[in-house]
Amino acid sequence: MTTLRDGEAGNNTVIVARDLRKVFRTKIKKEGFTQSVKSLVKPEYREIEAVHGISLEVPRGELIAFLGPNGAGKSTTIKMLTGILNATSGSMLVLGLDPGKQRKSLSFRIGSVFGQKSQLWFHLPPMDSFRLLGAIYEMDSKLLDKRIDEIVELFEIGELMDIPVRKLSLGQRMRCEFAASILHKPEIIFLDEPTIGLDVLVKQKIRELITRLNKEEKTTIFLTSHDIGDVEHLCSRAVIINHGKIVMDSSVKALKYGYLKKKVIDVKFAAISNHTMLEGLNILKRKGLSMKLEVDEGDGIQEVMLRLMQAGSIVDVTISDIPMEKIIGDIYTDKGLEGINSNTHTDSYAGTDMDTDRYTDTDTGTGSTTAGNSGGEGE
Amino acid sequence: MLMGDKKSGIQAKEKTGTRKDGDKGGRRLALSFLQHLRLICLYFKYNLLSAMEYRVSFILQALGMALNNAFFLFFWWVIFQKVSSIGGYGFKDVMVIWALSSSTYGFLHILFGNVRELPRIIMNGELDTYLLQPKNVYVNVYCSRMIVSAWGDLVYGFVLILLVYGFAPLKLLLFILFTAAGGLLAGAIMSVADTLTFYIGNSSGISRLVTEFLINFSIYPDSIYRQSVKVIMYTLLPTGFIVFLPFRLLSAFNWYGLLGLLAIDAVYIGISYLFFKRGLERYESGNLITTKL
Amino acid sequence: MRKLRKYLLVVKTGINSNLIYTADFLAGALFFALVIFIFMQLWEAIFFNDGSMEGYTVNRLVWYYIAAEMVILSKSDVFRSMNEEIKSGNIAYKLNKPYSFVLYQFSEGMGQIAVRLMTNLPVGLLLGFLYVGKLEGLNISALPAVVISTMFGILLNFFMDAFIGMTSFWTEDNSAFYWIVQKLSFMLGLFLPLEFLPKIIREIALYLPFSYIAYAPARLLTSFSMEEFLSMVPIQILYTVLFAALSALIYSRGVRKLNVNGG
Repeated sequence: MTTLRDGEAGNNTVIVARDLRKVFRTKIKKEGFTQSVKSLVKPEYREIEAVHGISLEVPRGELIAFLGPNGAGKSTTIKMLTGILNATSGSMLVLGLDPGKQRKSLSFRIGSVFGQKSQLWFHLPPMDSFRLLGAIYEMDSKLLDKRIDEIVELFEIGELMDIPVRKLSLGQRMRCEFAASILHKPEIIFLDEPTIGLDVLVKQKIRELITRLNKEEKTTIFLTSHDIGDVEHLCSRAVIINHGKIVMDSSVKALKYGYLKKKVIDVKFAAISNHTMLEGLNILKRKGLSMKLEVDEGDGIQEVMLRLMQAGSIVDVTISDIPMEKIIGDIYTDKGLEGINSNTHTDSYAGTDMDTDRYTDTDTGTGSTTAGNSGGEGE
Repeated sequence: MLMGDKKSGIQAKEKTGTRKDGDKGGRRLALSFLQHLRLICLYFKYNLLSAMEYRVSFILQALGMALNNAFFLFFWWVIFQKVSSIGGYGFKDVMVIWALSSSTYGFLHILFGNVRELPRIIMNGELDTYLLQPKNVYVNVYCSRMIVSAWGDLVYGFVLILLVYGFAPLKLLLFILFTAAGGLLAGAIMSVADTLTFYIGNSSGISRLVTEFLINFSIYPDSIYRQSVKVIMYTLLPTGFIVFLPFRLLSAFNWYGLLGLLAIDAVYIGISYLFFKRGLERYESGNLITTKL
Repeated sequence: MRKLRKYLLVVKTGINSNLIYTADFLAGALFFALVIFIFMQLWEAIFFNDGSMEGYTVNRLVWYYIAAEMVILSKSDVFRSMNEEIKSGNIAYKLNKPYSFVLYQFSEGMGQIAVRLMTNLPVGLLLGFLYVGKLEGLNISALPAVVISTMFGILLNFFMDAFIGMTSFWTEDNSAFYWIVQKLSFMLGLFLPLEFLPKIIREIALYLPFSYIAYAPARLLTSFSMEEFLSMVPIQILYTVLFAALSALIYSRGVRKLNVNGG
């Protein structure tokens, strides 16, 4: 994926955003009768800066993940890029169009699946919704029929087309929802939490569809998700925002391996004969004959493995990456990469939860060291 | 261009759509008008299909609404047992007013069912869906829903008018025209109240009130009101143009009246549309949250 | 004592949760003003400002309508709330709470009614004075009787709503019943005093419960007679008790059905 991006960079950029800002003015509501009468007459407002100067470029065909904790400004950014919201300041071009001014023209060329907002008619079969959407996107009926056939085949939803949506399972519905959003062959598709609430199998299916869409139709995919699995399995690049700013923009690979040259080894002994071999190893957790260790990548692994094998007879061993959730959780909390790389905070590392509070002794604010386009090679 | 192979008909059409050639403007406008008309028809069709999924409930609700209106007619019948005329209106005249009101608001709520929902739609950020589609948001959002019980209103009005005039094709034709024009005008006024949500936050209370005022000022003879109320009825809450001018034209037709009425309708609708369009620029999606102190 | 305090607290919550919605209150008051205004204009147009009909002058008819509309508008949301609780199945979770579901609904309803009455009463009085001046031939000594009748009118309305609300244990489409009962109480006493209706309808209406919601108190206010008080209020009480009993019955049956079906 990296090479594809390198090749296309510059002359085939589908999204350009420069210093985007969005300020919301919200009414302050007060309790009590007199207060609420007062605010009816003379409302007071408070300004909230949801997006705080975001700059971004996305080349055609990229699968980009847009991540951040709740309230970080993800949705607001997407809504500006799709023309739903007007930006307070800054400039952007999506497919060469200004979303704020050319919303209608843009909407012919982008698609979207927004969380749990449905495009399908609840009481009617998907086929009817597809026909209606075809009219909304001004497709002539021959073209529409052809396109529907294509999508039905791609998404394997042939047998669902005549069943009212209310009778479909959530997974089936999501597939149809997805199909509906690409009916008009969008060049970019914005996915806001596409796998939320789905079971493992359906999730896999949806991910597979996203990948196929990207490969077969060369669709650029712009995805937000709280499911780190989506990001790991799908995306080539991750942009992480927090407090309305980009705190990290890097390839997913780099995020995973580049910054984190560490592995976790879980090992289980039948018996430990030589305890001295274990001395000096970075053991995170130990329970009887099982232990969890952290190692530097590269030569470290070989050395540690040798020592483990000499320490006793091994029943079971797994070497794994530090889970993505953990990495991103730390970036969210501004603990940044220094915290992860530093050896002093590894005392109680365990599990795959986003237990970010384990690194409590790290300084905050180091996340800013990676701000901007540090990881966005080829732009 | 890498995506050259993808250039489908949609995009080609789209390109001509964005071209700013002046001479093509008129044709484009006509094309866009037809497309939106088609959209309204399609929404109508699928809304009806949806309603048909629950046939019994559909029929019950429509019948209920017709019965509701019949109750009011009973009220008038009782009154006209006691007096022969109220401010120049006889029982038949009141029936015509009821026919017009009933069908007009019925028409409105059948084709533009979201007219009562817009404040909620704006507040919940549900306008996003419509903004993502390449259609005029004003048309798209209003006609995407149908109020099922409004069928009762529409049919009731036609039954009444047939009872009063018998089968008189010209009157019937005029009645249909007035129903449609009045419905659009009433919708335009309600839309202004809805659109206030963009400016001042949730305006559903105002919307409800405006709807109540419009309907209540439509179903009693206008001659019972004093001058100051009549001024309102021909300006701010133009039920005069929704029901009473049509009523007069129906009993004594003249071309100037008709054309004038249609021109006035168009002005109101135009203002309402511009107000909506300006408001839409202030749309804040789901982020219009009021903070509690 | 403690038990009572619990329900008093619910009443208070009902009051408070309604007071928050200032805009709703203003909208309600404006609507009230509108309908009274239209009726006043209508009566004036009919009477040309003098004369009377069935013993009612314009002044009395307007006050009649204000009194009747006040009872109708000062109602609780008990129908909607019962309906939602039962249809959504939430009621199953409320049954094992340490309070009686029925008493809870009753307390909450009374709280709502109290708020609406307290706002509708001054608005109604103000509008009446502004529009037509004070009620002609008002009999001050009759006011306690009017208050009693108003109270039972409101209670009857509440229990009828509760009763219909709980039919949703059995049927999905019970809003049709609610709606018909509402219209009947509008037609048999809200818009017009029963005296205006044809004799046969009036006589039937006096046997049915609907006129005892709004007609009875409004009639007693505008033309009080001891005779009518003694004939109407006992029937009001009778119907109130009857619908309270029916509500209790249908509730216990409904809960049993719920237990069998497992919610």
